[in-house]
Amino acid sequence: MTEKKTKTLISWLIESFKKNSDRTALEVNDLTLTYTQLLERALKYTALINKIKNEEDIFIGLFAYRTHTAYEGILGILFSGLGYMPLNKTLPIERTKKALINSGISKIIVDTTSIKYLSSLLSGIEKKFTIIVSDEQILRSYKDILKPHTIITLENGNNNQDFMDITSDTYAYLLFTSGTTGEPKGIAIRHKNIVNYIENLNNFSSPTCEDRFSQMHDLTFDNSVFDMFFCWLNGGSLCVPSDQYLLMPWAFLKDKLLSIWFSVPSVAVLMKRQKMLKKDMFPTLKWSFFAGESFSDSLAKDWKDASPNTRIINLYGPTEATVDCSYYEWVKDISTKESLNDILPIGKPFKNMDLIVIDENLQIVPPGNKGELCLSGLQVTEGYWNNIELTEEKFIKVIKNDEIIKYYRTGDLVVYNESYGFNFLGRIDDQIKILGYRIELQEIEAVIKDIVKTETVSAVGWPVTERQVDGIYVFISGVNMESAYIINLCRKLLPNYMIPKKIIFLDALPLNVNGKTDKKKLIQMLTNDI
Amino acid sequence: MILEEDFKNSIKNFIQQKNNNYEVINFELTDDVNFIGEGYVDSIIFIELISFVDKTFGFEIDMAKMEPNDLMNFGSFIKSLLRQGA
Repeated sequence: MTEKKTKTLISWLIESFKKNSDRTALEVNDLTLTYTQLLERALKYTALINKIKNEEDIFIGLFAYRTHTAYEGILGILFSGLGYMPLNKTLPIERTKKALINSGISKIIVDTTSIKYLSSLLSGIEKKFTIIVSDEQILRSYKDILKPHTIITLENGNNNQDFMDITSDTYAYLLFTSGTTGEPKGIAIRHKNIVNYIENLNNFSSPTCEDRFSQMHDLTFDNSVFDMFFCWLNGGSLCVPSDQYLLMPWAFLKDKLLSIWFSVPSVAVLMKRQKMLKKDMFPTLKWSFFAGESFSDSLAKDWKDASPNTRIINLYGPTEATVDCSYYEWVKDISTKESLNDILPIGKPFKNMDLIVIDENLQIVPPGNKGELCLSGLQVTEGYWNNIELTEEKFIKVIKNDEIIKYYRTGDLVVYNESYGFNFLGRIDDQIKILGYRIELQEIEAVIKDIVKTETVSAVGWPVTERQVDGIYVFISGVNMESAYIINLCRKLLPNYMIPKKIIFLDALPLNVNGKTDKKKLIQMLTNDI
Repeated sequence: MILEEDFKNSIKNFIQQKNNNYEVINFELTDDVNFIGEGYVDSIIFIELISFVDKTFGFEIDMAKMEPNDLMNFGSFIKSLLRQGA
């Protein structure tokens, strides 16, 4: 593996922004910005951050949701040599608070849609924050409400910046994902990780500055890294759907004449359920990328019928390995044979990435044998942010060719085929995905155990339609409590996609031969009950 | 024949039951509320809502007949659904 030391996300972005100066970089709400305009706006944030930052600042918070401020803020933070940490007003406040405390950030850029939630987000946190807003009017409206925090606004003036201190080891972003204990876990990604990621995408696809890219993912979801940087580093136009379009993605795709699409397969399922995946519906699409959850061959066929001119790529990767680290191109008929249980392969590793399969004794297994997928290489993070214990558990040392190498354990069960790469077989642990979001069932169990004050709580993902898990069902024994009360409390502590659809009370939870809760039996009970 | 007020209250109750993340919000679902922009309905709740309308009121929502503007606020959404259910 060859490691590149010099190229940073910033040097690459600047090159692209200069080259494509008059082209459209961003379409958000009713605003269209060229690359020059977006850069000018971003550099206002950079100038302010450079003025106020201190040595303790590694990340700057970004509490913004699908507004121009979000994108200007991200670029502004990156150009200042710091990393961005997205905060999301649609996620539960208590969870976001935990991430905020764990991150150690003290400065937050806030947009007009999120600022009204800020005082409740910061309440109970002792630290005094510096809040950056885009204009004087917001500053005046919220100055008193947000006391004792300092609120400042952008300034006019010289925004010329140099980027000398930014290296390939500089942090670019910090994201938090579901953790088994109920505490979200932080994953910090550096410039070199993203550069290798985008170079890989460019290796097997061919976007141009004429392309119009979708931006379907919230910034707290790492798929958004693909959306923004794959687009801007190729000079394309990034099209941000309105809230209404997010519920009608087919209309977004059609109205905006998108040529590059990226979403979780669940969005395609949503279109299918809305009966809007019709023949030749999306003729402008050239490339369709899917990632974040299992993608079925039958869904790919439906997508191809609706998008006759597209090539379809199935991407795979955890947040710990910078969005995606393997890829597979769907090919009619051939992919049917290469799929297992209708699930498309996750394919071959990206360049500068090493994917191995290990057994329970951490020994590498030969091709054709099942085992846990482990990742090493240029895109893998060093560990979890401020969490040494979890880092030691998930990042292990494996002997390969007489060399000791650190690998990240994905928890994904796979098998390797020499001709087309890896097939995903399922999870080793209790993690599932809904709408592409990683969900540790243990996190839901931990939250509910705390509410009901009993250990006999078990969560399962059910039902599975179109190869996607639809919802969470929770079984509890030995408790006499209203399920509505439990679900209402969950709404304050968990994101929407993690809230149980139903709570079922049993006299006792079924156990397997090892004395553990028998989740297969619980799923069987749900299936029999239909 | 669906009574507009009953229909509206039923949809309102459904959405309100699914929410309550931020206590700061005065969660009144009046006609002018941008119920999607405010985060009261995401894609999961939307699909559940479509299924709820089907089960409760016995008509299937045809998405081809809907436009993004129909989702601009709660009032326009209710009107667009009633057009289909009428």
